This record gives sequence, structure tokens and C-alpha cells, in this order.
Amino acid sequence: MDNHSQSHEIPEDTASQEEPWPEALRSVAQWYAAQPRPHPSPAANQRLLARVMEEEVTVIRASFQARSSILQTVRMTRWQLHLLGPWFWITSVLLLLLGVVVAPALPRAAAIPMLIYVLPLTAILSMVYALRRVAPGLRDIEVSSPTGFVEMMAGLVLALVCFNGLLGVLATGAMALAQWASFSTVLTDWLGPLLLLVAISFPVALRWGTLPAMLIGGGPWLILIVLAAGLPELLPAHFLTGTQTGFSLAFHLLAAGLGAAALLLLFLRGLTWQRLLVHP
Amino acid sequence: MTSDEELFRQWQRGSVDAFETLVQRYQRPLLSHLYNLVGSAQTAEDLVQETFVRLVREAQSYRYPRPFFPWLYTIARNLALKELASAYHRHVELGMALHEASIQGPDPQEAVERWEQQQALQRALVCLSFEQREVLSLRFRQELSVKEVAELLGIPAGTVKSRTFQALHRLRQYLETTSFGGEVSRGDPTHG
Repeated sequence: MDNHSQSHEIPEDTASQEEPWPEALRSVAQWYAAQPRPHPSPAANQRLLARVMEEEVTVIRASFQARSSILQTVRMTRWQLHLLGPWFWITSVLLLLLGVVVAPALPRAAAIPMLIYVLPLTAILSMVYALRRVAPGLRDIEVSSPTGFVEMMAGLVLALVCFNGLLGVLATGAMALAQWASFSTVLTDWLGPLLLLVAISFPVALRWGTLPAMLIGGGPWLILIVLAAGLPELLPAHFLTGTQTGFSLAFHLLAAGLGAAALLLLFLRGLTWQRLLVHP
Repeated sequence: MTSDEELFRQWQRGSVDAFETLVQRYQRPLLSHLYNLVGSAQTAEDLVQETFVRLVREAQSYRYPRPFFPWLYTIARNLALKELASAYHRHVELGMALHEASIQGPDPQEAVERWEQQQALQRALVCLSFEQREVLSLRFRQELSVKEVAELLGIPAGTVKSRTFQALHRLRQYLETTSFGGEVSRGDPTHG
């Protein structure tokens, strides 16, 4: 499509040198070349440019979100973790040390369930504490930022879950050594509920606040604990005592998978859910 | 003059003016070419717009100094083919659309003659295959050489020549059945 083609005549080299047609066909070619050509109107030109610009903005936004969002979220999460303050981390580590010191002194039947009860609850409490610490002004900025409030909070919650998980792994290791318990059994017994309960209570905290989140995340777990402690012959007890069956293993793995998937989804695709989850 | 490839690269780096220059450079020839392919000025205009939109959408896949023009042309060609297939399924008759610009002018008699020419051409083009219309447009409206057309379409030069010959022959056969046949035979390109 030659942009310099303004003439309606066929260039001589095109018509005669390359293809020596009969005169009749040359006339047809000349007639064809001489037909009027459509010209874009100024309005059409404006429409085209406006449409292209609109598309460009859409593409840039999508590309920015795809490339920058995760990095930006991680950067903002780092700030959020920093804003939690040193006492949050000091308290968490002190609690772990306390557990490590106390665990060997407790009988096995009490120590392992205690660990399984406490770890998911501490994760929920950490999350609630962290979300309550978000200052209203900061929240306004985050809501309007390209990263998205949900993604950033999901990043914070994932960081806390990882931190709690790390403490849990250390405590489980200590427990396995002190009580000669199966490390993997105890690990899956608390990890599944921890991830699932946090994944359930996190959207509730965003939408309705931290108190409902605590009730919805921690409430059923407390009921299960009470049932397991009071009525050890019932089914819930089998999930929380550190004695594993094929069914309980499958249940815990499923819970862990669902919880982790939900949290990752909120972290990676939080903008999609922002309007639904963030309270106006 | 800045090359197309350089302009596109400048646009990728944020220069809006560079893209506007590309639009100015190709909007008119693209409209003319697509009009010859689909036979409707309005559809051709929509396809031109869609071609540039696709360029923007697929800009990330462009790597300098990949030739810009064949890429642009391929996008436009695919859109035209898609439009024609869709029109076929919708049972829309192409090639009969009136081109508004061609009937505008101070002299009503001249405007009518231009309109009749336009209609004759569109009716004639309907007799040709897509490939034949494409080759004719590239050769005689866009003024590309046989070699350039062959490279653009990825076909041998001989195929370009034979398609052109067949298209002109069929066009001539059609025109002989109309009032324009005699004028064409007399070799009067300025009057249909």
C-alpha cells in the first residue's frame, strides 16, 4: 500500500515492462486504476484517533497491572509489615519460645492438641490485629492506588500466614523431638485449618470488619476445640489430636489447598474483587 | 522521511505523534485497499479503524526492525477476510454499497457519472475472487510491483501475474456487457 500513490495512472514499468498485456487488458487496468478512491473524512480521522487512544490506554493499563502489580504489592506489603511495629514480632517470638519451653513438660495427649488448637487461632488473631492497624488515611490511598487494597491486604495476610507457618513448623519440630510425635501428622493437622480459616475470615474482615471475621474464623474452630476436648469419641476429635487417618489427612490437605488457593487468588487478582470486598 | 518501523518504535516508547504520523501515512491507502476488497465504504472505514486498534493491541509483539507494512497489511487482510466470511454467513450482499464521497461535487451530471462508474466497478469486482481483487488493488491502486506484491502475499511472482491477468480478463468480460465496455475499449480512463 504505497502511501505516495496519488496518481490514477498505471506506472509504465508496472503496466508494460513487467507484464506485456494485450491492449484491451491494459485499457481495463487503466480504467480500474482511474476509478475514484474513497477518502477518509476529517470526522472519520478523529474517530479513528480517538478509538486508537482509547485502546492504547486500555492496553497500557492492562500491561501495567500485569507487570507492575505484583512488585508494587510486595513493596506495599513490606511497608505494611514494617508498620505493624516491633512488638508484634517480639510478642510472636516470645509466645513461640514459651511454647517450646512448656511443651516438654506437658503430657503428650495435651501438648500436641494444644499446638493444633493454638496455631490457627493465632493466625486469625494476627490477621485481625494487622487489619485493624491499617490507618484510615492510608487505606484511602491504598483503595485508589493501582495495586488495589485487596491485593495489598492479601499480601500482608500471606506474609503473616508464612510467618505463623514458620513459627508453627519450628514449634512442631520441637514438639516432635520432645514428644516423639510424627512431624508430618502434626503439621498437616494445624496447617490445613490455619489456611482455610484465614482464607474464610480475611474476605469477611475486608467486607464487614474484624469482629465478624474473628467470629466467623475463630468461632467454629473454638466449637470444634470444645467438642474435641469434651467429647473425644466424636468425629471432630479425630481431626485435632495428632493421630492421623487417611480421611483426616485428605481433609487437612484439601483444607490447606483451598485456603492457599483462595489467598493466592486474592493476592493475584484482588482488583477483580475489590468492589465487592472493600466496604464503601 | 522517518521509516515506518522507526515511527512504530518511537510510539512504543511513548510518542503519540509517531503513531499519528503512521495513521496519516496509511489511513487513506488502507481505506482504498479495503474498499476494493469488501466493496463498502462504511465497512472499509470500520476495518481501517479495527486494523489500527489491532496494531495497538499487538504492539508488544512487535520487534524492531521487523517490516511494518507487511504486518499492517496482514492484519487488514485477515480482518477483511473475516468480514467477508461473516457477511456471507449473514447473507449480506457486498459490492453494491454507494460510496458517498464519489457522488459529492459541484456538478450534478459529473456526480451521477461518478456514481454510475462506482456502481459498475463494484458490480464488476463482485465477479472476482478475493485473491483477484486483492492483486488488482495492490497492483493498480496501491501501485506495487509484481515483486512487491509477491513478497507481501508470500506467493510466486508468476502467480501474481496470472491472477492479475485472470482478474483483468474477467473484468473486461463483465464490462463488455455494460455501457462502460465501449469506453474502456477506447482506452478512456478518465471516463469510465
